[in-house]
Amino acid sequence: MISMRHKIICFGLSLLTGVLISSSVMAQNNLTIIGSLESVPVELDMSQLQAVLKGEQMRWQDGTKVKIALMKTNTPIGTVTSEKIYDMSGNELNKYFLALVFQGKVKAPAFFNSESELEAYVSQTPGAIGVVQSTSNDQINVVVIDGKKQI
Amino acid sequence: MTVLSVVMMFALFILFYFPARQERLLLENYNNEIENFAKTVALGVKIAITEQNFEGVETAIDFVREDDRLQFVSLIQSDTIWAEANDIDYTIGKTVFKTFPDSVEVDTEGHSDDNHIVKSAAFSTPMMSGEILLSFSTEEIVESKRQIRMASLSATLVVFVIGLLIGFWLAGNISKPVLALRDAAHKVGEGDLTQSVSSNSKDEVGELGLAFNKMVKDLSVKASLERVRSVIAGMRGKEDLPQITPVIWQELISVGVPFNRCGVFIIDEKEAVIESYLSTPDGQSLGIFNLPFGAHEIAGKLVDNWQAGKIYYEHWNKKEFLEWMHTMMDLGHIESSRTYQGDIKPPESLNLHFVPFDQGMLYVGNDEQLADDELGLVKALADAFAIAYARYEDFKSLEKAKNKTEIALEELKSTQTQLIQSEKMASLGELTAGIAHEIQNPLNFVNNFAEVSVDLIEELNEEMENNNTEDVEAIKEDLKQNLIKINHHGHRASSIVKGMLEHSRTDAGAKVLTDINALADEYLRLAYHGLRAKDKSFNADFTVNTDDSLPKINVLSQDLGRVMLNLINNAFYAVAKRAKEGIEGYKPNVVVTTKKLDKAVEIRLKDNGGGIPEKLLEKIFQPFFTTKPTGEGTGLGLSLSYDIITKGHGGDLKVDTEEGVGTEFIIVLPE
Repeated sequence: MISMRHKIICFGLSLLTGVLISSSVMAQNNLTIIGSLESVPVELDMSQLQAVLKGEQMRWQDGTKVKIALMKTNTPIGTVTSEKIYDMSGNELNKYFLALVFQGKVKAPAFFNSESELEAYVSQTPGAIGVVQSTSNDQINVVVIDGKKQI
Repeated sequence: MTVLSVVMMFALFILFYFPARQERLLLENYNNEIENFAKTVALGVKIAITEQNFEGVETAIDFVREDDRLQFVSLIQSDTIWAEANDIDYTIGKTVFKTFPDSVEVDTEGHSDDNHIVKSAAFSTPMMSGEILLSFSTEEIVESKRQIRMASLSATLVVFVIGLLIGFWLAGNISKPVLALRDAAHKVGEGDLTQSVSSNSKDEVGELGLAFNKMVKDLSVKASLERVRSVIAGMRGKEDLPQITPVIWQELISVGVPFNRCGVFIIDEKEAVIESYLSTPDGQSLGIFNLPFGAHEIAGKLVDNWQAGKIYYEHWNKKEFLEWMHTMMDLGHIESSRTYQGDIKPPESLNLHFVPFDQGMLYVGNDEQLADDELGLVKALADAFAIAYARYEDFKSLEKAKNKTEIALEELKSTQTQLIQSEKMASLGELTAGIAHEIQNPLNFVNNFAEVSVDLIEELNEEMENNNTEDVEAIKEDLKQNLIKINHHGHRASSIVKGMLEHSRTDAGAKVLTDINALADEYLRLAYHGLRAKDKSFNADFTVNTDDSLPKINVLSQDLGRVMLNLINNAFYAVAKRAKEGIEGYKPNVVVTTKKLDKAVEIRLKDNGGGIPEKLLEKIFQPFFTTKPTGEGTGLGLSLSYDIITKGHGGDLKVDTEEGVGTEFIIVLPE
C-alpha cells in the first residue's frame, strides 16, 4: 500500500514538473526582434513589423534597404516565427518567399541555423532585421514591438 | 569551262551551304543557352526550397530577367491528382506557380515556334515538384541569320570575281598549253610521231610539255627500232638482203640522227671477210660485197674495234675518201665513181662512225661528228638490228635443218616402203613354198600314175600282140583306174590353185564373208610346209581345234591370212629354235584354236617355244623390232599384224606369254 504521504509527495513533484515544463514552453514561444544599430528603428508596432518582414516595406526611413534575417523553418524558433509573425507554416513561408523572389519583388531573406550566426549577420549588415528568441548582444538593437521587448 | 564550273561550285557552296550550317550551329547554341538558363533557375529553386537558401535562385532569376530576349520565365508546379474511384490511378496536374512578368499567360506545356523558343528544366523536392519554363524571343537569331546571309553573299561575290580572274589566268597559262598537248597527243595516237609542243614555261605545264616531247621522241625511237626488227627479222633469203641499207637509212632519219651515208658491216671471222652493205648519198643500196680483212686499212680497224666492242671513229678528207672509193673499184665492187657518188661531189670532210653490234658494225657517215646522244640512238638502232639479224640467221639455220630433215624423212619413208615390200615378199615366199608343197602332192600322184600308165600301155601292147585277152582287159581296167586317179589328183591341184586365186582375187580393202576355220587350217598347213620347204630338218606337231559353230564373218581375207601366216611362222620359228636347244623330251607343238564369242570370233595361236622376255614384251608391236638374226626378219610382221587387226578390223590382238613355257597370241574379231 502506498501511504498518503507518498501520494502527496508524488502529486507535488508532478505539479512542480508541469509548472517547470510550462514555463519552459512559454519561454520558447517568446520572440525577440533585433535590428542593426544603423537604420533600423528601435520601436515598431506589430503591423509595421509584419509589413517589413513580409517584404512589403523594402526600405527604412533613411532609405537603407531592408534585409530580413530569419531562423530556418526547421528550427524551433523558425517554426515559431512562421506561425507568430507570418501566420504560415514553414513550407508556406518558403513558397511565399520563393514566389516573391521568383518575380523579383523582394530581396531574398537570409535564413540561419543558429541564433549566433543570425545575430552576427544583423550586427554586421546595415538595415538588417531579424528574429531570435532572446539576445544579450550589445552590437544590435532589440526592437520593441507594441511596447514589448518580446512578442 | 572547267574553271568556271569550279568557281561556280565554290561560290554556291559559300552562298548556301556555309550560311545554312552557320544558322544551324547558331540555333543549336541558342537552344543550348536557353536550356542552360532553365536548368540554372531550376537548380536555384531546388536549393531555395530544400536549404532555404534563396541566393542562387535570386541570382539566376535576376540574370534571366535582365536578358532582353526573355519573353517569360514561369515556375510550373506539378501535383499528383488521385482518381476518386480508387487509390491507384492518378494524373499529374500542372499549374502555374509564378510567372515573370505577371502579365503573360503561360501554357504549361510550352511549345516553341518561329517567334520564340521554349525550354523547360524539371526540379523535384519533398515539398514541391515542377519545372521551369523559359521562353526566349528568336528575333536575335533571325537578325543573326540575316547578317550571316549578307556576309555569305558578299563572300560569294568576292570569291566569284577572284575565281573568274584566276580562271582567266589559268586559261592563259595552263589551258592553252594543255589543249595544245591534247591535240599533239591525238596526233601521236594516230601514229604521227613527229609531234612536239612548245615548253617555254618553267612550271608544271612546261615540265609536262618536256616530258611529252621526250615521250614522243622515245616512242619514235622505239617505233624505228621495231620497224628495223620487223623488216630484218622478216628476211628469208639472200634476195631480201638489199633491204638492209634502205631500212637503216630510213630509221636514222626517223630517230633524227644527222648523216649523209650509212651502211652495215657483218664480220665473218671464219672466212676473214666483211659482208658489206653500203648506201649511196641518196639512200639507195650499193649492193652487197665481201671486203677481205686485208683489202683496206679501215677493214682491219673495224675488226679490231668490233672484237673490243668499241665505237670506232675516223675522219677522212677528200683524198682518203677517194682512196677508199678506188679500192672498191679495184676490187670490182663498184663500176665507177658515179656508181658510188651519183651526181654528188666527193665530200671534202667525212666523219665516219662505226657502232658495234653482235654480228658487226653499223656505219654512219656525216659532215659533222655525232654527239653522244646521237651515237646513243645509233647504238640502240644497232642493237635492234643485231637481234633481228640474229633471228634471220637462226631462220636460215632452221631452213637448212628443215631441208635436211625433209630429205632424211623422205629417205626413211623410202626405206620403210622397201622394208614393207620385203616383208610382203618374205610372206609371199613362205606362202609360195606352202602352195608348192600342196600342189606337189597331187602332181606326184599324177606323175606317178602317168608313169605307171605308160608302163601299163607297153604291157598292154605286148599282151595284145600275144592275144592274151584276159590280161589286156585287166590292164585296161588298171589304166582306167590310173586315169581316174590322175583326174582326181589333177582336180585336187586345180582346187588348190582355185582356192589361192580366190584369195588373191579379193579386192584390196573389200571385206568378204570368210570361213575363219578354213582360213586357219589352210594357213597353218601352208606355213608348216613353207618352213619345211626351206628347212628339211624342221619338224613340229600342229593341231587345229575349230569351233564348228563359228559363223562366217566379213574380213579382209588376204590381210587376215598374212596375219595368221606371220603369227604361225613366228610360232614355228619359236618351237624350232627351242627344239635346237636339245631339251630332253621336248616336242615342238603349235595349236590353232577358234572359238565363237558373244558377237565376236576368237583365234588363238599357241606355241610351246621359249616365250617372250618381259622386257621385250612392250616392244614387240613396235615397227622394225625383231629378235631374229639380221636378214631373217624385217621387224614389221607383228606391227603390221597389229594394225590389220585393230585398225583394219576394229578387233584386238593380245599376247599371253611366259618365258620357258610358250606364247599365245589371241585375235578377237567382231562379227
